[in-house]
Amino acid sequence: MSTHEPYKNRIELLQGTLDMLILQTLRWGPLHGYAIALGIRSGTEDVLQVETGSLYPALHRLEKKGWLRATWGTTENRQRARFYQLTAKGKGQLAEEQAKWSQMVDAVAALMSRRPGGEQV
Amino acid sequence: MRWLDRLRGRDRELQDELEAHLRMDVTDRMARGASRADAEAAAKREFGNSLLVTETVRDVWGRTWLESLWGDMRYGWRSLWSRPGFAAMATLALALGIGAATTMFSVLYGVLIDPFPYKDADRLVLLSVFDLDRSSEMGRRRIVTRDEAREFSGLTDIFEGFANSDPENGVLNRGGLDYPVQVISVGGEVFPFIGIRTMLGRGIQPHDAEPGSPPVAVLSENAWRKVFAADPAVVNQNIMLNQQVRTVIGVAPKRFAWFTGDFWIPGENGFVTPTNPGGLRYMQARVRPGVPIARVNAELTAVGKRLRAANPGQYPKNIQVRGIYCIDDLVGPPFRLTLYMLSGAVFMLLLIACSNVANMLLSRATARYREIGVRMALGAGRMRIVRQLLVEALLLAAGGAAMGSAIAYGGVRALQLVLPPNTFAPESVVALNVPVLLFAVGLSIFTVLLFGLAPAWQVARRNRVEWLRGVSKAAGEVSRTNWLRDIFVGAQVAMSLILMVGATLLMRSFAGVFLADTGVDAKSVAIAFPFFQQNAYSDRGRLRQLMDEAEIQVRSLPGVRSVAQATGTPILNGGASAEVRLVSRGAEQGVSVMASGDSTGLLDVAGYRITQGRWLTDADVAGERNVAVINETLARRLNIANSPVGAAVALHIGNDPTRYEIVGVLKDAPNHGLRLPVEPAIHVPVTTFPFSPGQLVIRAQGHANGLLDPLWRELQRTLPNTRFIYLKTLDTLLEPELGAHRFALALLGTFAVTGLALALIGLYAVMSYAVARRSYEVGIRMALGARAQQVVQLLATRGAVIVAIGIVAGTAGSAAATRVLASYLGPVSTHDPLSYGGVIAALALTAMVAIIVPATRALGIDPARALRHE
Repeated sequence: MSTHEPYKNRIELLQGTLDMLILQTLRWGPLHGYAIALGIRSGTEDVLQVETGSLYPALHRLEKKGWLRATWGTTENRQRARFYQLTAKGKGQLAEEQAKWSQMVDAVAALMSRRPGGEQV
Repeated sequence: MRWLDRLRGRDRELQDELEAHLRMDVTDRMARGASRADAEAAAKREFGNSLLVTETVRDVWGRTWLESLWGDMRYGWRSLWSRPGFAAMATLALALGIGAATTMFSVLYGVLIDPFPYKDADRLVLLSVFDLDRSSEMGRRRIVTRDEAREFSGLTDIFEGFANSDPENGVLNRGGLDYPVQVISVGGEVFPFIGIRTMLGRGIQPHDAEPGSPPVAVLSENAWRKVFAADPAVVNQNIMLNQQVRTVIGVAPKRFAWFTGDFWIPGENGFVTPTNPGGLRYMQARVRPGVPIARVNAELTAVGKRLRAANPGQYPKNIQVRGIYCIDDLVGPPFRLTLYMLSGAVFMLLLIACSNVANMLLSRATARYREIGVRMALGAGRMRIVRQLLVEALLLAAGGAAMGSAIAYGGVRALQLVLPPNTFAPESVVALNVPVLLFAVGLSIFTVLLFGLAPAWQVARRNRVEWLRGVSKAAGEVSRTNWLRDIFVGAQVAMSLILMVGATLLMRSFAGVFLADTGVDAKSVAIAFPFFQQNAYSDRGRLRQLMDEAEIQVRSLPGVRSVAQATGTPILNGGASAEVRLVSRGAEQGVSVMASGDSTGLLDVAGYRITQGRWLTDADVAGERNVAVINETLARRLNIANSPVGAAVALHIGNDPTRYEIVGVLKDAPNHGLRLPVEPAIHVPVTTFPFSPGQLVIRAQGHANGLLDPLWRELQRTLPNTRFIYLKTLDTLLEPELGAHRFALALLGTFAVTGLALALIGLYAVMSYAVARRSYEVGIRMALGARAQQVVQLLATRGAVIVAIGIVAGTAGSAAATRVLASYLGPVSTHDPLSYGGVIAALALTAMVAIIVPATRALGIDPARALRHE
């Protein structure tokens, strides 16, 4: 997994997965858009890189859904930026997404780990 | 526009957010050792298309309803503004239609439809006794006596209630000054009957009219203001009215003007007032709902016939009793018809305006097919296009409605200023009629939407490919709506013509009043009518002596040209109601006349002209000779027009006929108001007249206004024991009549001019459009060497044909529509060629301008450009 050719191994995100990743990234506290992008990238060890063209529409969509709340603040470099933070509703949603995600991962893993033919038993 | 600021703010925030992202990326990259230029380039590359990001985020927000509406409105505004001529004309047409129709109808409503603030005023009738044997106005109709009133009040099957009123001239003494006032004795039932709520205090109650009740009075709002300076403490004050102390119990509201009173006092004991014992009174009754007026009249007449059977001497042989609707008395019997007619005219005005706008929108629609085709090709949805058209139509309608409302408001205000007081019902109030305004605005919006969306029908019918192909095809297809436009134009011309012919006919008959030869300028004549105290002069000889003395004294006043005693009043009223028979044909039915006992000065005062024989002489008057001068109408009625002088007539006033010899004939002059036809009249020496000499009529050398004060002082001195002296100039007495006519003229003139203006606007707009549409053709023709005159002719012919058809249809329509006017026109015929000719000429001329001006504009077309353009 620890490859140095991140661009080749980049994976197209599954529909809805970006939302979950954003929520997950924000669980430790408010972050601005750039930090969220960085967070997802470093959190997935450069495998998943979110494009701004997807990130910002997603952020605004989540804000509209009421899962995120946005406020203007300043970064440690004293830059003005828009910080997003989880709302209570967003936290609930995150828990739900996590449950669904592990269910899916288990299901997909079960299918993928089965040997072809199934004659093993 | 705060929602707009908020939208803009959201956009700006998004920009800030994205820029912050970029800056942080650049900072990080530079921290990792990249140069600023490299860092910025890399960050931008990775960021991608920032415009796309913005758009996508905006999509997430979603376009709000308001945002797209705002967009549509801006687009619609630009689109309208790109053709300011169209927008201006359409708005003007709508505004004129809404404004004029609303103003007219507001006046109609205030003056004719609902002028009375009384409870169920539309069911109030005035009971009137008719003598059907009399053909002329005079003496044919009268109000009712006490005995009759008692009989009629038993008819509770058809009537809900009754009100007895008796108006009289009175005098209010206040602070040593006498004010002539109108005092109305009313039965105790009147105030509850008309359901009026007093402004201050209380109204007259039934118990106030019972014998022995303390004397009270209710004050009119007008008198309260003028005489009591609007003092709210007037209630419970004592006033001196007709030399009797009365307590004010209330002040009536402004619109309450029952018999134009200044004071209302309770009639005493069964409605016999001291001044009117058993005499005539106005009896009004409210017809029960649903009872037809025919039944009312039948039952009333039955009572009348019974009364005559019991007392044949006192009643006419051919008696009829009718209930006359208050509103009919105001306007004349075919009132409903008039109302329908005028309302119809108002509606027609609105229709003309709407068809105008419809036409312009249809024209414009054809010009827009190309634009719509392009927009659809660029991916605009059908709903989007329809909505766009809707918004544009609404913008137009809103502009027209706003301007129309402003015109209506201003028009009503202007008419309020012109509206003469006491011309129509004194109670009437003209105010902007909001329901009608809403109706007019509604109809306009409906029209604009209906025809503004015309291109939308096409949108719905055809698919995009067709649109793309079809600019030229669209033009062909649209030519199918041409016939619709032509019909609209023709109908407009026809409707305008009907409106204008009707208005002109009426104006001509009204104008007759101003042009009538009255013999004398009403401004120079004053009337003095003394009211003597009860029983002050039971000796008539003494009274006659006093009046002679007054006449002599007044004659010597500076500024007086002539003076006379007369029963009648010049122009207004020929005198007492009487009957004249030729002695030589004694058995024959007499002629109803107006009889006046005059002194010799009247010839000059009234400006009479002798056509045969001579006028009364001083010797006639002094010698009490039984000689008479009649007017031409009476000579005709008596069939002695050829040799009237020397004929002997019997004059019946009351019951005793007196024989008179006719010595002269007067040229006919108005003697029953300016509008009604001349009544048969007879003038006899005042000394031979059975009634007390009534009044002095004075002709001044200049304006009689300046004479009123010296006259007042002189008459106070020479005529002792007067209650008060009624002193007015003749023109103020004629003013209500003249004012009404001026008002009617102004109103009708506005009708006609508005109709003409709308026709002009409509024709002009449609012609302009036609010229614009045919510029290609004109270009070709001119390139091929057509001459200017030929081009104009080509373009004008179609318009001229439509206008000609419209004029023919309108003339036929006018002939039918104006038939209902016949009873109002007096001497003017409904087919008056002058009115028709004038209107047709005016309309044709206007139409010609509206056709020729845009047509000549086509001459400015540059052939090369026109050809390239297509």
